Parts: sequence; structure tokens; C-alpha cells
Amino acid sequence: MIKEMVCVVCPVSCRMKVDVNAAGDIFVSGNKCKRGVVYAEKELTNPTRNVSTTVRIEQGVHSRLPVKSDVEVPKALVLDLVKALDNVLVTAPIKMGSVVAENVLDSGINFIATRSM
Amino acid sequence: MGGILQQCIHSGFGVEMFKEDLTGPEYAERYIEKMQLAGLEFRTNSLVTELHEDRTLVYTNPIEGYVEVQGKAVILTMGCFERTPGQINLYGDRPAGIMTAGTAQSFLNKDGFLVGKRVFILGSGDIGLIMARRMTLEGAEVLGVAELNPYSSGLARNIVQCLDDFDIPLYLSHTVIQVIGSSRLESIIIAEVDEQKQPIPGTEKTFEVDTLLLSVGLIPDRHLTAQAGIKLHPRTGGPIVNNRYETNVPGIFAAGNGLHVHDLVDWVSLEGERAGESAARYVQGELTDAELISTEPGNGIIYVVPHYVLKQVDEDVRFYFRVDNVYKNVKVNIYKDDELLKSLKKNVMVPAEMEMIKVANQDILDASRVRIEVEVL
Amino acid sequence: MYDVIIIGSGVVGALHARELSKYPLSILVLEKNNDVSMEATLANSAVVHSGHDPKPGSLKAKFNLLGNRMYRQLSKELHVPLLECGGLVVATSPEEEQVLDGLFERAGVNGLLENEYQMLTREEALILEPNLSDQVSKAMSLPTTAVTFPWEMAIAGLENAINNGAQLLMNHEVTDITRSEHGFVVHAGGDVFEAKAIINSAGAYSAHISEMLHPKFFTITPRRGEYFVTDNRFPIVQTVVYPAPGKKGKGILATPMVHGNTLLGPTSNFVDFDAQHQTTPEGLNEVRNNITKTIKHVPFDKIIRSFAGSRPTADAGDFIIEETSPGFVNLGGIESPGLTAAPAIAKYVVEELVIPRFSVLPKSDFDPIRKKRVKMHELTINERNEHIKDNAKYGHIVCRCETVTEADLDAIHRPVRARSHGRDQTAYRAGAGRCQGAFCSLEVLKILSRELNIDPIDVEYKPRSFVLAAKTKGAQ
Ligand SMILES: Cc1cc2nc3c(=O)[nH]c(=O)nc-3n(C[C@H](O)[C@H](O)[C@H](O)COP(=O)(O)OP(=O)(O)OC[C@H]3O[C@@H](n4cnc5c(N)ncnc54)[C@H](O)[C@@H]3O)c2cc1C
Ligand SMILES: Cc1cc2nc3c(=O)[nH]c(=O)nc-3n(C[C@H](O)[C@H](O)[C@H](O)COP(=O)(O)OP(=O)(O)OC[C@H]3O[C@@H](n4cnc5c(N)ncnc54)[C@H](O)[C@@H]3O)c2cc1C
Ligand code: SF4
Repeated sequence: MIKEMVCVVCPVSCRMKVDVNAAGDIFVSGNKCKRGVVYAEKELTNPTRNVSTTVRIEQGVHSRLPVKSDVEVPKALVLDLVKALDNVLVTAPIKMGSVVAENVLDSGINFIATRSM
Repeated sequence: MGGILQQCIHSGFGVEMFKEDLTGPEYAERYIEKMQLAGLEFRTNSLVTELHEDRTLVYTNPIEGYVEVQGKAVILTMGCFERTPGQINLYGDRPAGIMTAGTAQSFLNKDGFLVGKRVFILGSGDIGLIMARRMTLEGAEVLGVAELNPYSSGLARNIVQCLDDFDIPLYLSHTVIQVIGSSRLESIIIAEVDEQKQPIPGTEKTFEVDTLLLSVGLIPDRHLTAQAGIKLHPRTGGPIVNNRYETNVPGIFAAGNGLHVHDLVDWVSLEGERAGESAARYVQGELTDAELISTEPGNGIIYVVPHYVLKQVDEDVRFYFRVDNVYKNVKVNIYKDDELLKSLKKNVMVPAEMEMIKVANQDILDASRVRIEVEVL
Repeated sequence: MYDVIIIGSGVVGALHARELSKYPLSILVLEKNNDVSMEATLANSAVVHSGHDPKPGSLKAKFNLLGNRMYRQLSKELHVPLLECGGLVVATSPEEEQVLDGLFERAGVNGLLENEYQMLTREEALILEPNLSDQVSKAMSLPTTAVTFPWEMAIAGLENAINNGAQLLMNHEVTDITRSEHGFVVHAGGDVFEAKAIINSAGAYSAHISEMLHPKFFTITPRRGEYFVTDNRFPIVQTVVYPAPGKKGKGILATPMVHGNTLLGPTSNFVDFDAQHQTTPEGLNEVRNNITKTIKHVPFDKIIRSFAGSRPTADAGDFIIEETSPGFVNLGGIESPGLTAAPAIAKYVVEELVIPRFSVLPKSDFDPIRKKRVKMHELTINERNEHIKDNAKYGHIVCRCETVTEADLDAIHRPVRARSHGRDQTAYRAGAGRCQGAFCSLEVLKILSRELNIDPIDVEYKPRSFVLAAKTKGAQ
């Protein structure tokens, strides 16, 4: 069965053809780099996404600090994780890259600051 | 510092420049650090209010007040602004709850202000798509996206991860025909459009929403150009430049979204580097004049940047262009006068995605025109 | 107990308040909206008409001409910009030339002086306005035609009145009026006021107010006009261009605005009250199709906004300016040329109808001047920096399209307080430029919240509507 798929790993958005044979082997074409293959395989088995959102910050130039998940998150967990960040409140100054929420919902996933503020 | 990147907290930046998938603020911070390391002087909170042909400009901030300075060279990187509800034909009242997607993005991502709870989005530009996801993540309900064209104007990846992931419908060939509500938006009516983009009677659908976000195109900010006598290009909306990114006014250069609207920040950086280098050479007196080779959009191409190439030995030229429609199975041909210079096969080309082709400078030096064309196979 | 209550804070109510504040009287203006002048005075052509075209003998004809002659002085005293650009009524066919001849005669009958209206050939007209269409064959020049800044005029008039002792209450919709021993009892916004006299300047709702006290004797039907506004960096005309008038009034004009934008419109259609401010495909197409008859180059790609406003048209067709029962002055059907006529109506009503009841003499300490606000763009760099030294907020530009500084936003603290986000577009022109607030609205919101000392969530956009719906991350 051939499936058409758009690789979302980077903005190049390669349009890929993904073929799965009877033995379950996956053949990918149309990708510009190897990450496309990895993406296609995951998308068929356990789709994951990068999550970026914000947390509350005090004494910063803005009242929200942008953060992202340090690893890709299983699709089904995305909304719960973002909701769980409601409880996080940090205070400026914060360096880009520092962890602002650890092991959120026991998922092993951390959220890190994506700017200094 | 960082411009629009500071509000683009999603990832997808820097794949080409850093071979990493960064968020907007992270990408910006890398360059801010570089700038600080290099010890460059900068001013924040400072708005340039005037620019003149002799490269003098006036800026103002609360600390210094109005200051006039003359640059040996000036680079314009003012970014772009969004087309507004007023620029498209939005019929009905003018209630609260109608704004551009980028405005809602700055409200949400910088200060955590949600501008509405039930949202519809007009236009499938990237900012709109990304806001569909952001608003959903923050607890709003996004009821749909309507796009006038039969194809999306945003990147395919954003359709997948911002709409499909959340089951938000995309209505292609649809537009909002009326907004209802006098104090606050109460509902909108959308309809399908025919090939002339006219609403088809009987296809109306009503959505009860308190917010309508617009993502209907970006226009280079050309606020300062008229005074300085800088010529603009009718299709890009930004200045006309040569392969050094120099405008018709000597010593004034332009790059980034203020030159033409980009979808990849990496290419903005490349342009900026090239414009910066040219400006430095200009200041050193290293830039010499030469005859111009014009670049022309042929069949299927909306515009080509740069608009001119100087007839002199220089770095290879990167031609940036956009196609005017969705094309499958095509060749992109580059003609030097009428001779075919280069040809590239493409499976899919869409207007939402800027294309780039690199051409060796010495290959075109004897031409008077370079034309880029789409050939349907 | 007030001496006079004025209902409505449009340009008519505002200038009545100012005129009354010349006398030692207690004056209260009641406005239903959360801001002043958000109705007809907000959405109109802004033209100070010369008085050439109302029906001879009508109140419109009388007060239009008188009002036109008061505008220069008034604009100076209140520091409201006035663009003395003149006007041209153009003919594009032999039939229209005939209409023009008729209009020429009417201008004379209406009392315009000889140098206030002239017939021009196409060539002569082109000198005044190079952008006339090729069909224009003849034109009538109206040099006393000017353009004002309507809501600024109303705000300035009210501010001046307040400085001279008048009071203003917004969010006070008048819901009932009864007679009492001493005059009237007025119910508004949950409060009760008493007054010896009432001026009903409620615009489209004036008939409704009148009926609180009298049997119905006039009806108001909103007559909607739709417009385009173009970017102020690309002026289209330098003078007001009127087509030859037809059945539907003055027709679709091209009007230069005091801030450089051009207004194209209005249409003219009777509508329901709830459709007063709605733009429609039909209306805007009508503007598009008609404007090119008189104007040669119309850059439709430079349109930054469309809007609609409605004229409060009375069934009788003329203005109603009458003391309909002792102490109660009805101002009904003040449609175009109401903006022009407003100062003259106010002078007449105050001097002839109201003051005789009170038999008072003008105050000696009335100050006709409303202080000029600092306009940074009119100053040299050195002058600007003097202001910034005093107040750093002048160096902080909030709206880059219209260069509105944080200090300009002090309108929040002026006598006529601007409290709503929607209003920043009108009072300060922040957000009135080509980006229509995309860049500055977050900052304006924060400034409003800080200066009004309220939570951002509570910042209003329009009456009863808010900018924000919620804060994220469970924040309160
Ligand atoms: C919503 C959105 C999503 C995007 N997503 C991606 C993505 O996933 N991946 C990717 O690679 N790219 C993406 N892009 C594209 C990329 O981010 C932009 O094209 C790029 O950041 C533009 O940079 P710029 O410097 O040209 O303009 P801007 O970032 O807009 O910077 C212009 C700067 O100039 C300032 N300025 C303007 N006028 C004046 C003046 N008169 N005086 C002083 N300063 C002035 C502005 O305040 C601003 O700081 C996205 C863009 C947007 C809008
Ligand atoms: C499309 C159009 C074009 C025009 N062009 C011109 C022109 O070029 N030149 C010209 O001279 N004139 C023009 N006019 C006419 C001019 O705009 C009006 O005559 C003028 O603005 C009327 O002012 P007003 O104060 O009577 O009414 P409004 O400005 O409508 O003010 C009435 C006020 O009363 C308030 N109000 C209503 N009911 C109540 C209540 N129950 N309690 C408390 N407050 C209440 C309203 O909220 C409003 O603020 C035009 C009008 C329109 C609509
Ligand atoms: S395959 Fe590689 S280049 Fe193509 S979109 Fe995926 S990550 Fe980007």
C-alpha cells in the first residue's frame, strides 16, 4: 500500500511516498534527507511532535516565557502536557536552555526555556 | 531584538543555517549573541522615522530623543506587515474580535492574552495555521480555516501538524462573506467561491465565533523608502535590488522580509549576510559599477529576486522566486537571453513555498537578460 | 438640578455644550456609549460644505452657510485641523452640465457670495485638480469648501466646554424623561437627574427621545453611506470632488482628509437601525464603479479600510430645530450638512431658544481656547527633543504608521477621557495607519490598563465588548 505523506520535520515539507510491503518493511521516496524516513516510520507506528508553548514568568519584559519540550512528545500526550504547565511560574532572569519544568506528568519529558529573559 | 522571531515560539527555524530544528526565539538569540560578541553598537526601542537619499536617517527613543545620523551605508531590514481587515473586502460591522493572526500571536505568545475562545481563521497563511494550533493548545476552539484559493498559502507541514493533528477543517476555495455582531463578533458566514472568486449562492455556512483571525498575506514594510527615492517592485512590494542587494540609491541595501516576503528564516539570514557584506565593501570603496543584466519572471513565475545582476565577476547568484500556481511534474528552466542555461526537474511547486536556484556568476556574464520559466511536462 | 441637560455627545451636542458654557449655567451632557462621538460624527465625509446645494429656504440651506462661515474661527480656537482645500462639482455629460447650471443658480439663491462659486472649463478645473477623469467637461468651483476632523471637533468642543464648567457622563443612556414642577426628570444609566431645560441631540435616536415626552411627530430612518479609505502616503485628490448631484443627494465624492488619506464615498441607502454600520458588497461596488466617473487614477490597491455610517434622515427631509414644548429643544434629522451646520445651530438654539429662559449674561471668564496639543511631527528635531527632556514618553513611538507617541496617549487623562481600545484609533490615531493596529495594539492595551489602573482583561474595545477573552496558563 502506498501512502502519501508530508514530512513535517523541517519547513522544506518534502512530499513523500511511503510504501509498506507485506512483511512490514517501509520504503520511502521523495525525502530530501534521512530524517524523512525516520519520520515516516514513526508516523506509521507512534507519531510524535515537537511541543512549544509558554509558561508564566514574573519580572520579565513580557509575562510569558517561551518553552519547548526537550524531546518529541507522543501525539496523544500533547494537550495534557501543555495543560500541566499551568502550574509553572518562573522568575526572571532565566537563561535560554534552562529547564523550567522537569519530568512533566511523569512522562520523562522536560520543558526548557527557548529564550533568555 | 530578533523581530518577528520572538513571537514565533514554534520550531522549524535554522534547519539550513544550523542544521538544527530551533524555535524562533532560539534562532534569534544565536544571532543576538553573535552580535554582542562582535561588540556591535545597537539601539533598542528606537524607531527610524526618516531616511534620506544621502543615507542620513532620524531615529527616536525615550533616552536619546530624536537623533540624526548619516551612515556610510544603510541596510533596510524592516520586515513586513500583515494585510489588514480593511485591505480585503470584509463586509458587515466592525466589532471587537477581528484582527490579524500575527497580532493575536503577539498577544498570546508574549503576554499570555487569549483574544477569543471560539475562533475562525480566514486565509491559510503560515501565521494563521500556526495560530490555529497555538489557540487550540491554550484552550480555545478553532472551528475552521477558509482559503480563497484552491490551494493553501501556508507550508504543507503546517497543514499537517497545525490543522490535521487537531481535526480543524480547511475550506479551500471559500471566503468569509459577512461578519455579524456590532460590539463583539457573534458569527461569520462563509461561502464557496467560483473560478472568478465570486461567492456561489447556496453554499453559505454560518459559524458562531467570537474571533476572526486574518492570515491573508504579508507586505514588505516600505515606510521609509519613498522619502529616500528608493524604487519599489510592483510584485514583491519591496525595493528593486541587484545581486549585491543594493537598491537604486547607492549605499542603501535591503534584505529579508522588507525586500520580499520569505517563508524560511534561513534564507533571510543568507540574504542579510550578503547585503551586509556588500555594504561593508561599499564602505571600503570596493564596489564598482557595471552594466546590468535584468532578471525576468517567465511563464508561471511571479517574481525573481534579485531584479538585476551586475556584469562583473562576483559570487554565485542565488535567484529567489515564487510560482503563480500549483504545479506538478514540471521543469524549471533558466534562460540566458534565449539560450537554455539550466533546467531542474520538480515534482511539486506551490506558491506558498519560495524556490531558490543557484547559478554560477561567470555563466551569465555575457547575457543581457536572464529568464526563469516553468515548463509543464 | 442642572440648568440644561444635553442628550448625545456627537458634534451637535458637543458644540451646544460649548456654546452654553459661555454662560453661567450648570450643564450636563449624557452619552449612552463608553466614548463620545461614536455614531454619525464618527463616520461621515468630514466636508465643511459651502452651502451651495441644500434646497433654498430650508433650514439646511440657512445653517449650512452660517456654519461654513464659523468654521475657520472655531477650528483656530479649538485647535482642530481644517483643510481649506476647496471643492469642485464636476459634470461628465451634457445632461450633467445642465444640472450644474441649475446648481450654480441655486448657490446664488442660497446666499453664496460671487467669489464663493464659479463656473470653470475643464482646463481651468484641471489646474485645481489634476486627477479629474477624461469625461469631466465642466466644473463648478467652491473655494470655501473645507475638510475638518469631525470627532476631534466634537471632542475639542466638549473639552473646551468642560474646562468652562460643563460636565459629561458617558455610559449613561437616557431611558425616560418626565415633566416635573421645575422642569424635567431624566433617567439615564441607572441614575436620575433633574434639569430646567433639555436639548435632544441624540442623532439617529432623537425621535425616540422626543417620544418620551411628546406624541410622535417625526420619524428617523438611517440612510447608510459606505466608504473606502486609502493610505495617507498616496493622496488621490487635493480638493473635494463632487459628481453632479442626482436623486440620491450629493453622490460619491473623493475627499482629501486632514491626515492625508483620501475618502471615497458615500453611498446612500435607507437601512434598519442594526445595519447602520455594516459594509456590503453592493455598496462598496457602487463606490468602486462610480468614483472612476469623476476621478482618473484611483489606486484601489492603496485602500486600507472600508466603513459605513448612517445619516439620521427625518421624514420631512429638512433639519428639525424646534422648542417643541417649553424648555425642550428637539434637534431631529441633523443629517448632512449637519457637521457643517452644527456651530450655527448651536449658536441659534442657545441664543434664541435657551438663554431667554434663564435671562443670564455671558460669563466674563469664558476661555474660548482649547490648548493646543504637542504635535511632534510639526516640530524640528531640537524642539522635539525639548519635549522629550520634559517627558520621555514623547520619545517612545507606540504606533509607527502614524507616529503616535506614548505621550500622545495622554488623552486617557484629558477631560474627555478615552478609555476604550477602539477609541485609540480615533482619538490618538494609533492604529489608524496602514497596519491598522497590528503592531501597536498590544502596547496600547498595556498602556490603557496601566493608566486606567484596571486589569488588561477589563479594557474595553467598544461599548460592552472587550479586547481580550482570557489569560493563559490559568492566570487570573
Ligand atoms: C508566523 C511566522 C511563522 C514563520 N515560521 C517560520 C518557520 O517555521 N521556519 C522558518 O524558517 N521561517 C519562518 N518564518 C519566516 C521568518 O521567520 C521571517 O521571514 C524572518 O524572521 C524575517 O526576518 P526579518 O529580519 O526580515 O524581519 P522581522 O523579523 O520582521 O524584523 C524586522 C524588524 O525591523 C523593525 N523595524 C521595522 N521598521 C522599523 C523602523 N522604522 N525603525 C526601526 N526598526 C524597525 C521591526 O520592529 C522588527 O524588529 C515565519 C514567519 C512568520 C511571520
Ligand atoms: C455618511 C455620512 C456622510 C456625511 N457627510 C457629511 C459632510 O460631509 N458634511 C457635513 O456637514 N455633514 C455630513 N454628514 C452629517 C453629519 O455627520 C451629521 O449631521 C452629524 O455628525 C450629526 O451629529 P449629531 O451630534 O447630531 O449625531 P451623532 O454624532 O450621531 O451623535 C448622537 C449622539 O447621541 C447619543 N445618543 C443616542 N441616543 C442616546 C440616549 N438615549 N442617551 C444618551 N445618548 C444617546 C449617541 O450615542 C451619539 O453619541 C454626514 C453623515 C453621514 C452619515
Ligand atoms: S525529509 Fe528532510 S528535508 Fe525533507 S522535510 Fe523532512 S526533514 Fe526536511
